[in-house]
Order: sequence, then structure tokens, then C-alpha cells
Amino acid sequence: MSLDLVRPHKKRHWLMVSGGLLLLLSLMLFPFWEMLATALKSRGDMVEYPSRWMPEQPVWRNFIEVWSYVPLARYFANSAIVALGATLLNAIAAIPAAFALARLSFPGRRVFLYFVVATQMFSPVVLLIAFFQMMVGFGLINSYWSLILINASVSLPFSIWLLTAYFSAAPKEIEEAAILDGAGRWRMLFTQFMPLAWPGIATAMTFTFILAWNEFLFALTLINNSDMRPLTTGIYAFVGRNEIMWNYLMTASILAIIPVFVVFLIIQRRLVAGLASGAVK
Amino acid sequence: MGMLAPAGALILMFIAYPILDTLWMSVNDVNQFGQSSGFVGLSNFTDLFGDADFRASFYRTVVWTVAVVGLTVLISLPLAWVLNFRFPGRAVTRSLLLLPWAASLVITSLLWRWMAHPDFGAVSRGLEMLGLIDQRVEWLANPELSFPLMIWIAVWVSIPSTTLILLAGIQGVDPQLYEAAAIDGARSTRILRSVALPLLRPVLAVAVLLQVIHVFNSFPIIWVLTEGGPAGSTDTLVTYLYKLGFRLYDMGGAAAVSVLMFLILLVFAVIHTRLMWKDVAK
Repeated sequence: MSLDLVRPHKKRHWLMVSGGLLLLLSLMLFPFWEMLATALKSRGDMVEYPSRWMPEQPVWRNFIEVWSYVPLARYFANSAIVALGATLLNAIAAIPAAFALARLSFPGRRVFLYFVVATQMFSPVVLLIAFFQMMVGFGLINSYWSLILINASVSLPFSIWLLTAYFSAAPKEIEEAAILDGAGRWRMLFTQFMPLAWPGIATAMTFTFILAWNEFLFALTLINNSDMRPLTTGIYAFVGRNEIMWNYLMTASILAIIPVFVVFLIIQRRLVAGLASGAVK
Repeated sequence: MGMLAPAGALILMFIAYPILDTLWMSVNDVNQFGQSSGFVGLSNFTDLFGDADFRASFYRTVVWTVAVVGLTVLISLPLAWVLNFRFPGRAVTRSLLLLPWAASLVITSLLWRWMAHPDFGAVSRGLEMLGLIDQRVEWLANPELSFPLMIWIAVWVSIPSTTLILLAGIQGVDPQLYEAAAIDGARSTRILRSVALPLLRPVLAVAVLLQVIHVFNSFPIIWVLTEGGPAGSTDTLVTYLYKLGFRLYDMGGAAAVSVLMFLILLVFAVIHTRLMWKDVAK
């Protein structure tokens, strides 16, 4: 890469740059060291003073015992149901809408687009009170549906925006060929456009999934039955107990992070592209 | 339009309607079940302005947002620049950088709450090891310590995504521009300042706008570490809103806070866009 031409030439500069980088990275990563070290501590290690950076005898058993200390499997299942449900609903709504906005002309198209952009500016927090009232009215407090609906909706503007860009980029000939074939709009979308826009769809769905998986404020407000809690508020509920078992809490946290981190690693490039498109457009 | 129906229905029902309902609640006396006992004009708003805690929360939110976004950009920009060079371990570094981002905010906040433990926490342990403190410190009991700590946590979780956006921007610049500058003998820092930065401006501008909206509305860090306490001394507008609505059941007041928060962000977005557009036009 020609970019290498721009890197620091002098050895002294290299030393400074790598020193600074190492320092920053250790600041960034040492909390995760602490997370792992705590997860591996026994009850006794937890109250040892002064505390250690790593327990002498790592207790890997914690990773098994935590499943019975709290209903962790239940929390995982709740999070998965909510996040998958939100992602699915988001895709069902966003894909045809983005296709229509990108490839069809109809009255009110611009208004709809502006509206989509405007809603992106809204923070979900602003909706919290009214959404809570609404869910009380529907009797959906402590139901998966309340979280599925809100998570699917708040991610919708971003998904539509991202997918509209992907659908717009497809060459015109595809549309013309499909029309010659006598294909209707829906068939055109399914057979021609969706395969082409697949990277965009995958990005939008991943973003929706991760946002829903990590969501906290709405879960805290809408779910108060401990069986229905997703991972975020489930893990947070550790704090409400009279004695906080920090080692189990960290064990559960590591287990909760792993799936998302793996997904992040797999889609690393796409993730950045998606973020950047959110930033650029 | 059948194709717009699902999206339109979701947006109207779960975004547009709640917004209108919030506006309505903000000018009514609403109980915890959302029932109004009458139109009260702007008294929910004037009540807020009369509350010293609200004014303090507002001021604190501004400090919080400016500090977090400012520090994040100050750290992320050079970091993105360095990650752009080829060096051994670069791929691993980039991947590890995803960690604070992959973890949900609640989890990272809980982790930091544990690290701030006065007796067994890693923050005290580390500072003691470096010889910077020699006595027990109650990090979360004192707002003068807890608030800066929470600002750092917010910076810490924001660095990865900001760095990666900026990195994408830096790599999107035509390499020939860098090359030309390098052949002219310009130093790396000069190239960053005079070639990359001006081209990065649009990306940076929108990244900052999104980040401001996000940080201004951020809830989990403060809630998990201090719940805005002790005695409201670390409340921002969001935690203030949450307590007003779900601890004091003053839904009208909470709705008024929502409306104000939206207006503040709107004013910011308009000014920000104006300034950026003026720059671009120049």
C-alpha cells in the first residue's frame, strides 16, 4: 500500500508512536483483564486484601456454576427471542419500504424519506414515557412483544436509509429486464434486487440485532418480571441482591459478550462500512 | 402503497404517535397511568426551570456531552491515523479494539462499578501500584471523583466505533494525495493535518453530530454506577427524566423533560449543520 509512504520516517518518531499506542491499548484493554481475573476468582479470593490481578488458583468452575446461580439460560433465551424477533420484524418492514423508496416513484416519496431522516434524530429515550403508557394500555408489559416492537421500530429509520442506498445503486437494466419478464414489484424485489443488496441487508440486520441484544433502558422499564428479563437487565439484577457476587457477575458478562464479539469479528469490515454510511449520508 | 405499509405502520404507531403523546403529556397534569386531570399549559416546564436539581442536571449534561465527545475525538483521531500504518499485530489490535464496543453498555458499566470498588477494585489497586494514591478512595460516593470517572468510561466505550469510522474515512481518501505529499517530503503529522483532516471533515462532522445525540441521551453508565447519586449530584437529564417518571410518577414532568431534550438537540443539530455547510461552501 502506498499509504506506507506516509508513516513516520525517523526511528525516534516510531518509538514515540508505538509507545503511545501501547499505553492507550493497555488502558483500553486492562478492564477486560480484570473482568476475566474476577470471573476466575473463588469466594475467598474475592475478599482477599490486597486483591490480586489474577487469582492463584483460577476457578473455571464458575463458568458452570453461574448457570444455576441465576437463570442465565432463560435470560439468554429471552434476549435471543427479543433480538431475533426485532430483527425479523425490522427486515420485513425495511426491505420493501427501502425498495419502494429507491426504485418506484409515487406521491409523497420525498416526504416519507425526510420523515425517515428526521426520526433518526430522535433518541429512543424521548419516546420512553409515551411508549411505556402505550404498552400498559395494550397489556404488553412483561411481554416479549413490547421489546420486539420498540427495538424493531427504533432501528427502522437506519435500516431503511442504509437499504435505500443499496437498492438505488443497482443498475437500471435489472429493473427493465424484470419488467420485460412481466414480473410484478414483489417478484422483482425477491428475485432480482434482494440477492444484489444482500450485503446491505446483512449489515442492517446485524445492527438491529446487536442494538436489541444490548438494549437496557426499555428492558428496565417494560419488564419487571424476572423470568422475562433479557440478559442486560438480568445481569443488572445481580446488583439488587444483598450481596453482589462480582465473580459470577463477571462470568455471566463474559458469556454474554462472546456471541456479539464473534459476530463483530466475522463482519468487521461490513460493520465499519455500515457505520460509515450512517455517518456519511 | 403495500410495500410501505409495514414500515409506515411501525413508524406511525411506535415513533410518531409516542412523540405526539409526549407533547400532549407535557402540557397536561398526567398521573402514572397516563390519565390527564386537565390541561396545565406550560406549568410542567416552569416547574422544571424552578427546580435547582433540573438546572444542575442540565448544566451537567452539557459538561458530560462536551467532555465525552471532545475527548473521544481527540483520542480517536490519532489512533485511527496510527492504525492506518502497517505494523506487526495491526489486525489483532483492530480486533481487540472491538471488545469495549461489543460488550453492552450495562456490562461495561457494571465492570467499571466493580473496578471502582474502594477495597477490592482494580482502579485503586492500579493507582496504588503506580504510587499515585496511598489511602482508601470511595470513588462513587464523591461526585467530584465519580463524574470524571464516568466521563472516562463513556470515552472508553466510544473510542472503538469513532476510531473505526475515522479509519474508514482516512482509507477512503485517494492514496495518491498522500503519496504526493509524502514525495514532497511532508512529515506524517503534517500530512495528517493538511491533507487528511480537511478531507475527513464531512465524516468527522456527521460522526460528531451522531455522537453528540448518543452521548447526550446516554443512560446506562450513570444509572449503573451511581443512579445519579448521591442525592442527585451526578444526574444528567436522562437519569433525571427516568427518576421523575418512574420513581416520582410525574409523567407530565418527565414528558416535559423529553420535549426539552429534543428541542436542545434540534437547536444543536441546526447550528451544527449551518456551521458545517458554511465551511463547505467556502
